[in-house]
Amino acid sequence: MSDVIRIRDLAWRAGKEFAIRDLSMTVPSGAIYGFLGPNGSGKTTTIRLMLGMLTPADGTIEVLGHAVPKFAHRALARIGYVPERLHLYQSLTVDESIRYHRAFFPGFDDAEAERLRRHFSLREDQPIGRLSKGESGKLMMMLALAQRPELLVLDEPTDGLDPVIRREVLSALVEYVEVQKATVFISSHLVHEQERICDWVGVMDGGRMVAELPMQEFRSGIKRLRVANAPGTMDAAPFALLSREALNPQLDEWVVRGWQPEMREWFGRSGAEVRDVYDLDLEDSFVELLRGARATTIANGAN
Amino acid sequence: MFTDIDPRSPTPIYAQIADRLRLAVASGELKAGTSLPSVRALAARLRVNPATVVQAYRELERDSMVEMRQGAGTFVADVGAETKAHERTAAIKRFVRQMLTEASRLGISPADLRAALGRETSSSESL
Amino acid sequence: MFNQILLTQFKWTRITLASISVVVFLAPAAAWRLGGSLGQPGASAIISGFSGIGPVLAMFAILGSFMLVVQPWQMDHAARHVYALSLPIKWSAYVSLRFAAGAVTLLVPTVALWLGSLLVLSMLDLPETLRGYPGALALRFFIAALLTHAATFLLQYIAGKKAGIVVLLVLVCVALGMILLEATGNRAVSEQIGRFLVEWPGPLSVFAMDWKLIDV
Repeated sequence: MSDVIRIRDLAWRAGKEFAIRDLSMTVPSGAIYGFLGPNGSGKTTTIRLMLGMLTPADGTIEVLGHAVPKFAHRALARIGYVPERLHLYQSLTVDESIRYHRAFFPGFDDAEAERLRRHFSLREDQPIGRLSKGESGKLMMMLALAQRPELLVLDEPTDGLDPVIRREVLSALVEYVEVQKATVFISSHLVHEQERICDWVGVMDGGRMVAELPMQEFRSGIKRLRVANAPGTMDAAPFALLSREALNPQLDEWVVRGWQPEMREWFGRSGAEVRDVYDLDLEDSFVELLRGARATTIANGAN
Repeated sequence: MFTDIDPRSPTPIYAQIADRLRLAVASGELKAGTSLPSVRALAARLRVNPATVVQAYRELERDSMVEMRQGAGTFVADVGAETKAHERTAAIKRFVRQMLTEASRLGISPADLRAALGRETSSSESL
Repeated sequence: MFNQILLTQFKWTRITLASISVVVFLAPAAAWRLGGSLGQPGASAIISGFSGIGPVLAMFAILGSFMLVVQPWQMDHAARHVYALSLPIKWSAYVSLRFAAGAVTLLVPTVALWLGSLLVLSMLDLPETLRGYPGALALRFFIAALLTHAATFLLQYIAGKKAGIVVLLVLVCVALGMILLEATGNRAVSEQIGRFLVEWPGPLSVFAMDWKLIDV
């Protein structure tokens, strides 16, 4: 099946500086794609560009086969969007907002909406302005899922929600994905949550994509090595060095990307030895990856 | 039984699920013919990618621990006593390996670990 | 889609609509009372009696239609238009639907005015020389309101801040110009401009405040 989201060489600026540049991203059909990145890296802006709410300075965006922003409204009919902050009308009640929403989305499933409303314990006559953060989070997710969309775009869907509600929201999302085989794009800084659910990961930093690969590869590919008599030079290293630190005069700690067990030989050739190989969880991998990416940027800038 | 998985563990999530189920079958916790939760239900309960649950079930089927019947669900297979014993051994081995890796990371030698284990187990037996 | 947009528009502006409709419904009766209704007044007395109604209606037409644009816009603006932008509908289509809904809601005070006029006319015994024009009055009200609605709409939704400032500057310049002309005694020019703008078919003729319920 074709890709659901294809972004190539996207650039955008607010004012003189480019906030986003050379950004390319591919989200395959049926993937649960985790969008990671520190605050201020441009994640929400990228999502807004993806949905046609902002116009790019350069590059192409294609979502569900439609060019964005030109035909964004066609794509949006098949997208369930949950933004970072409540975007619904606070003066409407839950019931009124359901009726409003469903008038715009042809595939809206009334029975599902009702089922989810009960499941999330949302009262029909409650004005949206009176809902707690958790309740409004549930309402936004409920409306998005009731649309039965092919693509879900979620921007920090569980941020600020208490653990119980977070589980409710995630469970509902997982159930939907299993039944509908939809594609999901989740932007979140809750790395461990992303780790459970996502099978693809895209890392953004400073307006650029730093990495994009299957979750398993990302998790297993970044390792921490304890290296004895570490070599000074890095010619033709088969992996990418993200960082190195001397623990003592004889022992280094290296963080590398793209590690395979056979690569021990490379060390052997220069008289070094890999004493230990440790796995990093997604959060540590993410931090190390960013550290490496930023060091490269500085190095390139210095040249 | 379906307590939370640990996303931080180096063991892939599908393996964590599969290992837990394997142990349950080996110990008799899950009897032959019992139906496992649907992919949808288990994925929702654990809040993991449904494909991960499918991967776990497929691995168990490959090892003849379960049967996936189209339309009906996944059922625990009739597993012989020998296989059960083998599984139990394998589970204990995995557990010990994990403990050894963790100990090495903390700078605890195998000898120290063995001594401590001996002390702890004898004191708990006397309780 | 339009139904829901209309419904929400009604919900958000219902207080404004109700207030204006009540005022406008009572305006003819109030003008009749205030303008002198002692027994059977003569024709000229009746006409002058009702003449006060014009400015009041015009004011409410302008005020009302302005509010009817601003209030729903505020609802969208509160969430930075994210919701409206995320709906599967072109922005131009969305704006058109909001405009049309606003125009439909303007019918409410228009009908209220019409009914209020009819009511007063039914209680009056008009001399043969005079006729009542309830429909015309209501239509003038609607057109005035619609024009203001459209102008406000343009400024809020389409033009944005910059254009709004430009239009405001232009209006200020025109007003200043006219005042200057008056002050320096160039009455004739300013009068001509005024007449052009305000008399039929000038664009602002509906705002001439010269609305008559009863005329020859």
